[in-house]
Amino acid sequence: MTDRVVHIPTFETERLILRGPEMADGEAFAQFMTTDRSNFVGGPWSDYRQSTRAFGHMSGLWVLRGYSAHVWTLKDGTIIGHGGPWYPATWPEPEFGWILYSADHEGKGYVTEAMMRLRDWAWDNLGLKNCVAYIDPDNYSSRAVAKRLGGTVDPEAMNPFDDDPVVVWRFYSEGRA
Amino acid sequence: MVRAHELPATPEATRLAIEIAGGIPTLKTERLVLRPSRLDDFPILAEIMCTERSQFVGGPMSREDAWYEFTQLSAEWLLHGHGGWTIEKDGIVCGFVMVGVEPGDHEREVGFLLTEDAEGHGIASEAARAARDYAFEALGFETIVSYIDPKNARSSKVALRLGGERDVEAEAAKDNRMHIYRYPKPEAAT
Repeated sequence: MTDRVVHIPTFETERLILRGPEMADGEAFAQFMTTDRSNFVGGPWSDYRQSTRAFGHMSGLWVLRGYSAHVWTLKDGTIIGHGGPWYPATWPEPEFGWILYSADHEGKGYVTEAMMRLRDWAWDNLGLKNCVAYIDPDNYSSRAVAKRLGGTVDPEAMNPFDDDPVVVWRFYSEGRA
Repeated sequence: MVRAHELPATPEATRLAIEIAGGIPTLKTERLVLRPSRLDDFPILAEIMCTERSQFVGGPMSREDAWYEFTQLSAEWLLHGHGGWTIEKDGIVCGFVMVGVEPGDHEREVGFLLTEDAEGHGIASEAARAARDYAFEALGFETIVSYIDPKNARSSKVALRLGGERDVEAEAAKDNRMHIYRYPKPEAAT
């Protein structure tokens, strides 16, 4: 392994490190995508290549767009998920996305902790004025996070997922909490 | 048709993208500049990948799939410390060259894609040579290959011109019919 040539801004919150994606993170993500937990993000996927492609997409956007999802770890380096502002293929606008890989890390407020930091980064450093979050109507945990982040449902927003019913939440840089 | 997600981000994010891509080396050869890819290079890659030009590299494919290929070239820089460059000659984009490893590949490879206009001027050879030398010299690779479709006569010629030799053992160990050209380390290179 050579020295890293690409440097992504890293953030530290009370309990988490938010850093740029690395090769080994792809394994953790691919593992998550084989589980039923990935139901709300289009999984589960049995083809490993599909995860590799999705992870590569997420990583490559950093270089091309200047922002994408951070990988989240505990202070001891345990990977717990990824998320942040990103703008993937075919979507009409940037999204705040988040994924917690394991149920073990649920219910602790990790997603809110990470996303509050990344939301502020999006407003203060990326020049974004607003962002959406596409959330499955049955995904109660993510809905709670969206509320905590100050989001409101936007019934007018475009849904890029054809027949898949998602609720579009919107966040604005102005009037933030 | 250009889609929303292909357009530049805000000025702030564009500056950050330039800063992030600043860590990627730019290589100069006699006639060419190999530089980090930018968002506005995508239409040129799409022109290659969404037409018959990509028939030997998994195409033609949809514009969306071409976008995934495009992001993958840049992602490699984060994930592997090497990746794809955009090839420029006199400020004109001629194509793309990469030191990369794709899912399913057994080894790291030098790959190249050229626009129709750029073909026939030795540009692929010049760019691939620079990428290969970078892999050996700057990255310290022991070996590197090119995976080439047997029907792709033009690319096979490039591999041969660079001193690549068919590795039939490696080909037999792989589950597809791609030809594998292995490049000698610089000491053995002519």
